[in-house]
Parts: sequence; C-alpha cells; structure tokens
Amino acid sequence: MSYCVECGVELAEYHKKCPLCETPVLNPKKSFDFSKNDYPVFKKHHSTVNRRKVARHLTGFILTMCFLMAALIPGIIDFHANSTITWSIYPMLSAALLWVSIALPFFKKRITFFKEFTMSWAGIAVFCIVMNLITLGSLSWAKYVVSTMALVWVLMSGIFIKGHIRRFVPVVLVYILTAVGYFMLIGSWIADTSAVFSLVLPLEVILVIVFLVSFFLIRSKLHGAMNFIILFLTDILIVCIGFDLTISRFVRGNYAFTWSFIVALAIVPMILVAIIIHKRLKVQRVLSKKLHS
Amino acid sequence: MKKQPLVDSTWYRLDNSAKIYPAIMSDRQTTLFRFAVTLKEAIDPNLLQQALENIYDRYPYYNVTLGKGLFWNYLEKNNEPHSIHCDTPSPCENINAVYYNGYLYKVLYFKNKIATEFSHVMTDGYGGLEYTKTLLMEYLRLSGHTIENDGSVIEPDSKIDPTELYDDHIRYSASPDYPQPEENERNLFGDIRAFQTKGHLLPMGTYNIITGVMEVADLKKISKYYGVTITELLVAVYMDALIAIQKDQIKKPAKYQSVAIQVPANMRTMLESKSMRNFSLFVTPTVEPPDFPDFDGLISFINGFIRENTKLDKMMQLMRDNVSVGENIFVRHIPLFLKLPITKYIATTQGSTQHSGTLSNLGLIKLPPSMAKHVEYITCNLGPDPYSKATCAMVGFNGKIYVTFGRVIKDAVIERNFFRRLRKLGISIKIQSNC
Repeated sequence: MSYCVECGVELAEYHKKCPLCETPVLNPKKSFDFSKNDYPVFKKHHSTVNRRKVARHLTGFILTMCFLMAALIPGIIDFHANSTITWSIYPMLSAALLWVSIALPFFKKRITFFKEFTMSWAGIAVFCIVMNLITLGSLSWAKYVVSTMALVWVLMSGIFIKGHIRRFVPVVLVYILTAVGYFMLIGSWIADTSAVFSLVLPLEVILVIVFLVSFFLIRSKLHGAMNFIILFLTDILIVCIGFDLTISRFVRGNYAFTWSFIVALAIVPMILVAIIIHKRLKVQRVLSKKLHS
Repeated sequence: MKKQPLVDSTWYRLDNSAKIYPAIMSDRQTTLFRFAVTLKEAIDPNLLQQALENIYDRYPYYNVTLGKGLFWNYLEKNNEPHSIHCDTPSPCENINAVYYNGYLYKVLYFKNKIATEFSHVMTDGYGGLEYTKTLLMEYLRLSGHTIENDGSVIEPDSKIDPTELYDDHIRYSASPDYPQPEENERNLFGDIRAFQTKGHLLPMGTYNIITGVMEVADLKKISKYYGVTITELLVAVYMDALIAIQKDQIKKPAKYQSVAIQVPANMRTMLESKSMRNFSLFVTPTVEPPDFPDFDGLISFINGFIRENTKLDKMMQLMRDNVSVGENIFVRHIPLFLKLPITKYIATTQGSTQHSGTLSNLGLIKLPPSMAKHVEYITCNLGPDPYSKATCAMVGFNGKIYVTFGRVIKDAVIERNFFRRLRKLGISIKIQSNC
C-alpha cells in the first residue's frame, strides 16, 4: 500500500501519483497493479483556456468596433461636408442605441435578463425622445411609444422582480391599474374626454371582467388544455361581442351586432369541435399528452 | 389537484422537481447521478443483460423517453429495447439518445463493477438505488447464488404499488393535513451570489472522480465528539475547505462571497411516500463574509441550521413554494420553445450561482446478508456541475463510508482541502480515482 506524503492518505494500488496533489509515489519496490483499476483508461487531459469568456469579449469588441465605425464614418463625412453635425446625428444615435442593447451585454460577466431588458428598454425610450425632439421639436409620437414601453416594462417587472410572482393579487391589481391608466392616457391624447369615458373605459371594463373571470375559473376549477382552449375561445367571443356593442353605441347611438356576428360564426363551431374532442377519449389522450400544462 | 398517473399509463407528466432538468441538460451538466456496485467476482455481461430484461417490467416508470409537448416535456413509454454497455472513462457522460435508444438511464459494467446512471428527469437517488438493488439481486440470482430477500429489496415480480408513480410534491403540497406555510415574501431567485471555485475546465465530457473510503467508526467518533451527525460534520469540513479556497483565490477580503452548500433532504423520511420519482428538497447552509466562523463555529452553525431547516413545517413551506412556481398559470402556459431557454437562462444566472457545492448523503445502504457477502463496495456520485465545479455524494456500506467527489476542473483543490481537513481530524482515508 502507498501513502501520499503531502496529503497523508492511502492510495489505491493502481495510482502512480496522488490524485489530490499529484505528488508521485516514490517507492522503487512498488509494483502498480493496474488490473485493479476501477475505471476504463482515461484519456489525457489537454490544457484549456476559458474559451467562452474570450469569445464573449471578442464578440463584444468586434460589435463595438462595428458600431463605432457606423457612428464615426457618417459623422466625419457630415462634418467634412457641412462643417457641423447635421444628418449624421441619426446614424450616430442609432449606433449608440445598438451598442447599449447588443454589444454592452457581452462585456458583463453576469447580467440578468431583466437588467438587460431594462437597459435596452431605457435606451430605446431615450432614443425615441431624442429623435422626436430633434426632428419635430416636441414629444408628438414619442409619448405613445414611451408610455407603451412603460406598460410593457411594468408587465415584465411583475414576472422578473424577485418576490412579486408569489404575491399574485397585488401583481394582477398593478397590471390592471397600469393597463387602465395607459389606455386612459392614450385615449385622452387621441380623442376627447367624452370618448374616453364612453368608449375607452367600457372596453377596458369588458377586458378586465373577462380576464378576472377566466383567471379565477382557471385557478379554481378548470384543468387541462382542452378546457383552457374552450375558455380562451369563449373569451374571444365575449370580448368581440362586447366591443362590437360598445363601439356601435358610440358611433351610431344604439346597440347593434355588426362584425361580431361574423366572428361568432367562426368561433362557435370551433368551440363545439373543442367540446366534442374533449369528450373523445383517444383524441383526448393524445392531445392531453401534447398539450398538458 | 392534478391527476396522478396510473400504472398502465403510456405517458407521465414530469414531477415538479424534474421540470427544470430538460432545460439545463447538456454535455457539461448532464443531470445524471450514478451508483457503482463492485462485486467480488467479474461481471458476466450476458447475465447482466438478462437481469436487466427480467426486471424491466417491474419499473415501467423508468422505461421512458423524454417527449416534447406544447407547454411541457413529458415522459413517454419507450418501446425500444434496452441494453447494457461497457463503462466509460468518465462517469455520468451525457446520455446519447441514439446509443441508448432514448432511455434516460444506463446500465454499465466494467470488470467487477455494475454501474447504473439515472437522469434526474426521472427520479432521485432513492429511486435509483432501489432499481440498482433489484438489478443486483436479479444478477446474483442468475449467477447461481441463492439470495434470500429480507424485504429490503424490491422483488422483480412483485406487484407495482400505484403510489410509486405519484408526484408527491404535488400530492402533499395540495394536502390540507400538513402545516400551512406562513405568508411571507418569497425570494424566488434569491439574492446571494455564492463563492464558486475558480479553475480551468476540463475538456468537454471529461469528469474526474475521487473517492475517499473511511471507517464509519472513525467518523462516528469525531461526530460524537462535536455532538453532530456525520452529514453535518462532513458539510462543515466541505464548507471549511471552500472557505480556505476562497481565501486563497480571492485576495481582497472585501470581495469575499457567501459560502453555501446544498444538502438534499429525502422527503420520504418525513412523509409517508413510496414515490419512485423525485421527492427531495435542498437545505442550503450559508455562511456570510467577511467574518467566516472557525471550524468549531461552522460545526455548531451547520448543526443548528440543518436541525432548524429540516423540520416538517419548513420543508412543507419550501415544497409549496417550489410547487407554486411550477403550477403558476402564467408559467404553465408559456410554450415549451420559449419556456426552455427562459428556464435555462434563469437557472444558469440565478439558480446555479447560489451554491458553492453540493453534498448528497444517500445514507447507509442495507442489503440482505446473502447479497451483501458478494459485494465489495458501493459508491455513488453526482453528475458534473460546471458552476460549483465539484459535487460530493456519500454512501455507507459494510462499516465504511464512501465519499465521492466529481469535478470538472483540472486541479483537485476542493478534494485536497476536504480530505486533508479530515486527515487533520485523525480519520484514515483511502483514495481511489479515475484520474
């Protein structure tokens, strides 16, 4: 039996060196019994460098160079031709935005999806505001884009900010309030206040009610993909009918079925087919396997 | 509550713990674990193949392949033949779907050794061990030995208990008979970034294994001196080794990170369960920088932490928290093609960064005396983890404890620190390795 003089551990008969510290077994009388090896013969190791890190930084560097060129070349041409920066501000700003969104994450060792998303989102928002101010001198179209981006960010934050996913009701409430606020804001920008209350708000109420009823049905009673599909189709049908009635009242002053009738003609057979499939055992088995949630 | 599968089901849902594995499975992180039983006689491959076929129908839930649904992966009955293979130089190599006919477990042999490797998608250590014991019993019987089963091994022709297929995470978390967790703010992704050993990764597919063999009596003596269990003692030694490595690899104390060890807890010891699928949870003792405790302080901290956090109410809370993520209506209905990359991203950037190592104690393996006399020793090891770099698993058999480290970096720095620390405590160790 052999011992490692550094580690003080006994070594198996087939070891020529200590597996812990690689100190060789120095015993001229020792014969190594390789027949007792516990594993098939191992391939020789090759030294490796952290290729992934090098590749990541290299990609980031190449992208940085590309964006730098894309920003500098138009700038130099513009400056050379006009002695000032005029049209080249657009490609320069675009290159800066692309660098923040695409190249910068390659230099970060560990960046969470949400941080990257927030960074890119903020970059795009600033880009839109600056572009709008440069081109038109006011926030005409940028306010729509930025408010929509803010809405999407709030929706995403509920999923990614730690802890929020468990507190379901507050998250849903924040979602609803944000959505209502967003639509009212957009509504007040594009229409007068009366349109907001007679059109935008009822549409939102329909959406919220359908969403909440479906949500609690799924949480409490409904299980299985087919039930989910039936509920989803029914939701679409209800929303379409509700929208049709509300819009027709706003436009014509009375409730009337117009386009929602055609939607109903398409969706009702689909719901019936889904219900029939739901009752057929074999089809149901295959679908439940593929669609289980 | 979701329906539990029947014995004759042609497909199964993934259990709650397994849902993450299809997303993170790769050549670097195979999510396999292995049992290796070394007998006192050379293995006859023909008899081993026969034994595999004889017990095939007893474990229908392992004769599956991984399928893809619209929202989740699932396990589907595999009708292809299954066969044994010769062992490989590196244990826990990723399962080649063509080579292994889509099966998620392997049966391997080499000289006197029978090894089984299981994907965590199907089961945990308990299920894998039960299968291995049955396979071993059948092999020994086919070899002409008379084996008297004292009930500790599942017979190949015994009736399948339907509850073996149950996902007990779902069953128990939905049960009102167990302590309800207090409503508290759940930290889904955690906020610690644990220290992870630095080192050059070995080439893909290479996995270095070092097993330290120790006497149970020696370890019991030391653990009795400190008033802790053997697991707690070894977790403390592991943590002490990692603290020493961190101090060596990170020069500035201000940059020290937490040291956290994942210790799986078998829920079957707390809740009545015969489930052969995953039914374990992790407790993660964590020490914070900058003032790491000394070894005595570590032992008392780990002792208190594990005792406190393996109480049933804490485990039920953890289980319900885990189940609630998988059962979340939003998570459930994300299409699989989006779910897999998102899960992988979250698992690699959040989950994998929260532990410095894993120590899994499979406990003392009991075999009927007529079986045990043919067995030289049993080891187990976990699959490669490119984040913590080394993982540790231990089993006890026949008065000895086999602590096996698997690592994916060149330098055995973790093992060296670990076993040298044990030597300092006066425990004699025999080392065997594939490197």
